[in-house]
Amino acid sequence: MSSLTVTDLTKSFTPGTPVLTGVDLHVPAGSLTALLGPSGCGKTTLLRLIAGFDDPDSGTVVVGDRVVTGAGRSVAARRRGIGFVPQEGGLFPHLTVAGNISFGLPRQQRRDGGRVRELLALVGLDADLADRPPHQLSGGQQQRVALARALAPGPSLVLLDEPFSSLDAGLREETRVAVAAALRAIGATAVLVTHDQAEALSMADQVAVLRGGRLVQLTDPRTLYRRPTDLDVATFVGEAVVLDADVRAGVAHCVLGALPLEPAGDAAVPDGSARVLLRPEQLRLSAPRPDLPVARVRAVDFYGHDSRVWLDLPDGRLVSARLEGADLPSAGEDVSVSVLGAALAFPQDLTAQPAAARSA
Amino acid sequence: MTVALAVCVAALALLPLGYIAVYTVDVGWSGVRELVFRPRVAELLWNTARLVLGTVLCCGVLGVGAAWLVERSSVPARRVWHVLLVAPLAVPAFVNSYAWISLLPGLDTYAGALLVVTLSYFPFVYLPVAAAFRGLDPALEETARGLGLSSWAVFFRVHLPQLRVAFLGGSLLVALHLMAEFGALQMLRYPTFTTAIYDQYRATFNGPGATMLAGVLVLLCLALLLAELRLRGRRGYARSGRGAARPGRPVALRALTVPALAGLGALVGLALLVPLASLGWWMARGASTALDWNSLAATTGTTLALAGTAAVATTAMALPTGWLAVRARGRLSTLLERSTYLGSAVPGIVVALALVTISIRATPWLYQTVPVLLAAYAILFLPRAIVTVRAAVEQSTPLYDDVAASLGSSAPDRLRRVTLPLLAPGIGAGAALVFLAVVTELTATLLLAPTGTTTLATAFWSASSALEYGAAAPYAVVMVLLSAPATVLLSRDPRRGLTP
Repeated sequence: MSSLTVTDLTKSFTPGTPVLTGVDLHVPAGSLTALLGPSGCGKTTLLRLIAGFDDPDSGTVVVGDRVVTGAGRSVAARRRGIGFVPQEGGLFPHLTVAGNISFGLPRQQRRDGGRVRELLALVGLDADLADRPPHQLSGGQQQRVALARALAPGPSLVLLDEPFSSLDAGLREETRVAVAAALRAIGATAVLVTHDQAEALSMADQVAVLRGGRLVQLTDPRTLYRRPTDLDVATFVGEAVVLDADVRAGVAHCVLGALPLEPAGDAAVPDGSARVLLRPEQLRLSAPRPDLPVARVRAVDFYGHDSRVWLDLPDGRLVSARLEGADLPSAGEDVSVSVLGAALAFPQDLTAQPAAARSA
Repeated sequence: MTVALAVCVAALALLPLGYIAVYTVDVGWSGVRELVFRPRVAELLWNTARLVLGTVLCCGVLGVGAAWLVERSSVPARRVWHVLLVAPLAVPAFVNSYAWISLLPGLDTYAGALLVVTLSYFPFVYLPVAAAFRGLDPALEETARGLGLSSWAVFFRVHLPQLRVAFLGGSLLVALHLMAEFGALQMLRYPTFTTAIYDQYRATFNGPGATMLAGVLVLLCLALLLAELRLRGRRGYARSGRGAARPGRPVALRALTVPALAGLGALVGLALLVPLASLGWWMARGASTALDWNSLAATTGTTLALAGTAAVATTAMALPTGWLAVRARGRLSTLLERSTYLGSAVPGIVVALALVTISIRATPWLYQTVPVLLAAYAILFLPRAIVTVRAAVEQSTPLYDDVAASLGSSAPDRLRRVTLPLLAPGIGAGAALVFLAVVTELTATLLLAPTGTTTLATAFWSASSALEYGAAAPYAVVMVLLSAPATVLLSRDPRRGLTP
């Protein structure tokens, strides 16, 4: 499959209120990129522009080495060779599963049951489903058939528009695994739209975070989680503990003590007041000790595999800690808090442009 | 392009209303005063008003009562009763009227008219109210009981407000149908605006007189439409939760089962068995004298051909409007859709009168030709086709088009492989409903059919007007047989064809 390069893409439906502003995106061949953002951030619009259902106001879209949008010309959606998996599958209700999967095949291949069986096997479905009408399938099965349908004509790129958002939790996980496996098996280049950060982090090779029609960060999932570009992104991609701190010589002094900072590459964090980001799993609790800051446990949410402990810090701030294991404090107890690993600092006055992440 | 077509369709639908308006302005205030403010009109107004009021009340009681028994009580064989209660719609009101008056000639009174039209029209209330009962979320009722409400309080404070839209819609249908009813009331010799317009037109060809009566009738219809809109209000009654509602648990009737069965039996007996028995009796009598098979076959052929052409033409006209109403939502498309509904609320007699006059004056070469008759059918029955086409377009979202395009399918290919297959059932159902409505259409056909063209309805009408009840019966039987399939459709999906 081919790579995808989007350059300076801009689109507005009503003049003056742009939906997308100058979006640049590169998806290497054979990789999966997640477009992550809250609803209304323009991620579905971006997907529709790539698919060719709508035309951008300006900018280019290149698939492989073929310009499909740009310089005033636009290739029709049906000539782009881009597979599309809509929300809730969008299976044609008047066709069977086999009819849906073979829809995009050349006429002489449509009757070939072997190809349909092959694709059903690829997405992990039983060949017996071929003659069923779509409404007899579960939501997850419909999604997988929709993927098989999109893959059937051998597209150079597959787009998935929030494919798992309508499924309930158990089915979502199972379908997500099956879809990821099918995409990897054929080395597909894929773009997945989602507002679920866990989905983006667990499935994608790289994550593109969109906010207000702009691309704010494009990186691999680990870097995104460890070094988000600003506090907004930080809180969007996961739970965050954000504290006020005073940075002196690469060390943040805050209510939890002196914390080392993430190595900042070429641009050092300037001394002065800042805000630091920790993840809840970096906090460790122990019986009160004189050398460590003490917090009071407000509440404990027990999830089984782990737990979240709500802590009132001495400065009045409420933060959460993620703990494993059975040895949990109970509400009202005092505990000491220590920090594992380094914190990420954002200058106080410039939260949108953190020094630490600028180089990331 | 689509918009232009839809505008033409809307213009056609509003043609009769426009004609009445222009004519009234032409006649002037003094003319209107002379023609409208006279004792005869007051008498017609009184006749029409008390019949409409009485019928709406009776249909309301019978319709809601029967719907409650069938949908919410433990009465035995509920599915069978449901079909039997919808079945009277297969007997056109003028056939029902013939069946009764030919048995009991003394029915030409207010009470007789009330009896016959109520028996013909109560399914218009029964159907939507039954559907509303079925759609009631039992969780609401359980919540109300949990808050300490009694059974009666539940009915009045929970059920009744939710039935309001269905009940008002059904009552509006009864009233509009009654305003437009010609055959049934003419046969019972009960004068209303519609029969008076017809008599005036036939007797004197009195243009201004008939047209001014038509103007008053149209005003009454518009007033009814407005009243229904105001009474219905703006509140939404949709379920706010997700997922399908559980079916409710029926109320046990216990000792009241026998009286309930007797009541339903009496209603079905009067509304269905009496007309069918009367038809059978006259068939037997008529067959012994002379049953003209050739003319029956020829008339049936003419009717089927006319109805088929009208179904195709009307459904084709419904396509642009139905498409726009879904795909280009906005003021213009709503306006275009509503104007076809408004146009069809005009009684058939008025539509026919308008088309006769317009075709004589503007296009004499079209007067008394099939196209004018087809135009009248289109104006009267467009909403039936639009409602079904619209529902079909709603199911075929633009998403399917996008997906098909991403799979390499070209525009004509998408039309053939996606859009048409998805629309086909809706288009077919719409065409079938128009077809069946045309088969039993009497009023407009009487005025507009080309000389020498007889349909089942007009052949039946001329025979029964001449009191040849036996000769009329076979035509009525064919009409009932042809209407029966529509009844099955309606008992399954009450939204279809219940537009005025």
